[in-house]
Amino acid sequence: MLPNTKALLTLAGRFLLIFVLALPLWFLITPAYNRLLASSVNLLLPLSEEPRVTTLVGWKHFVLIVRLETPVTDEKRLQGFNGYLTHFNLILMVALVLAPRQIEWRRRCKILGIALAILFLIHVLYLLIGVKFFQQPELEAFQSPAGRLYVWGTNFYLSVASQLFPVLLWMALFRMVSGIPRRQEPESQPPGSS
Amino acid sequence: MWRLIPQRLPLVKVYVIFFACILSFYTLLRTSIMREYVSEPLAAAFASVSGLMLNLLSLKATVSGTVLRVEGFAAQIDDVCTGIFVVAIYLSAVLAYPSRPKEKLKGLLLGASAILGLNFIRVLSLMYIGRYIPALFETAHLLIWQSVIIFSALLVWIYWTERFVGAPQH
Repeated sequence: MLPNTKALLTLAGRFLLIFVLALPLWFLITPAYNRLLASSVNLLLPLSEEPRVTTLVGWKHFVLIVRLETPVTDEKRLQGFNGYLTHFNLILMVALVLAPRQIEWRRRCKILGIALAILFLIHVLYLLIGVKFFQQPELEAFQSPAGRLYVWGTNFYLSVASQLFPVLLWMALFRMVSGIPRRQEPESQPPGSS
Repeated sequence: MWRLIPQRLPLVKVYVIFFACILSFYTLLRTSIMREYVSEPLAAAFASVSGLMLNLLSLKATVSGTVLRVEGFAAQIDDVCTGIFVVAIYLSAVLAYPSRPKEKLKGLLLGASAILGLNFIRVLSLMYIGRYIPALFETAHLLIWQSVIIFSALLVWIYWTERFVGAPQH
């Protein structure tokens, strides 16, 4: 077995272990994180809405959108979605940062802190942009160019970007904070290893 | 800082190619032609082979187009479920990384087969979860497997760069 293959398998094993351990913790934290996200977006909504017509509420595992301009009897007045659709990449991020060995804990914590802060900003931005169109039927959203762009963006975020961000962040932050790891020279390997 | 820019140009070029490829592939895969000729046939193939395997594993399964049914549970395999978007991400990374065309081809074959193979295991496991532990289905579908698949793509890509790439810029 190649040395790098062994290292990759170790990384995979540690990743899966951390992922499984972090999953229940993340479920516990999700309601609080949903409330934090909703409050943060509510603070920023006046910048994008004049007059203010939408409010977000974090409720258990859901994020609720209250559309104040819609009649109380209309079903669109209150819509909700599972918060994890927005932020399930947090767990991937944590597992990626904690999985590699031979990194000082101080650096690891620094990388984790920066990564989680950036992901939080991405989640806020996603909700801030999406709140206007979220859960509107696609045909309705397609009536305007902004709606079409939003539908494209939502699908892109959910199917590609949400999982790609943590991987790219992980690679970029390890490069910035830890530097590029030097390759092991063939001469330094013990005799007999392949 | 400005002096560093020429040194980092190759890296910037890699990132630009990577993002351009991802956006192009994603847009391409979302067109109706690609859906009709690539995504849907792939989803139907996944459903058929999964149905066959599930029957071999003694879970009575029936397939209708892209819909896979077992006793008490049914699921539709759509284009996202085929893993084709993860293959597109992986392919973008392979195309962007400095390497020779032959190495890229090896990388593509290695990565696409690994990702699609793992995705096949994903579909099978999800059918079992849907049948026996339906409460866990959403979590396994949206959280666990998506992360595992993207992580496996990353591993295969690292493996490819270490094992197969011998370009001078590597």
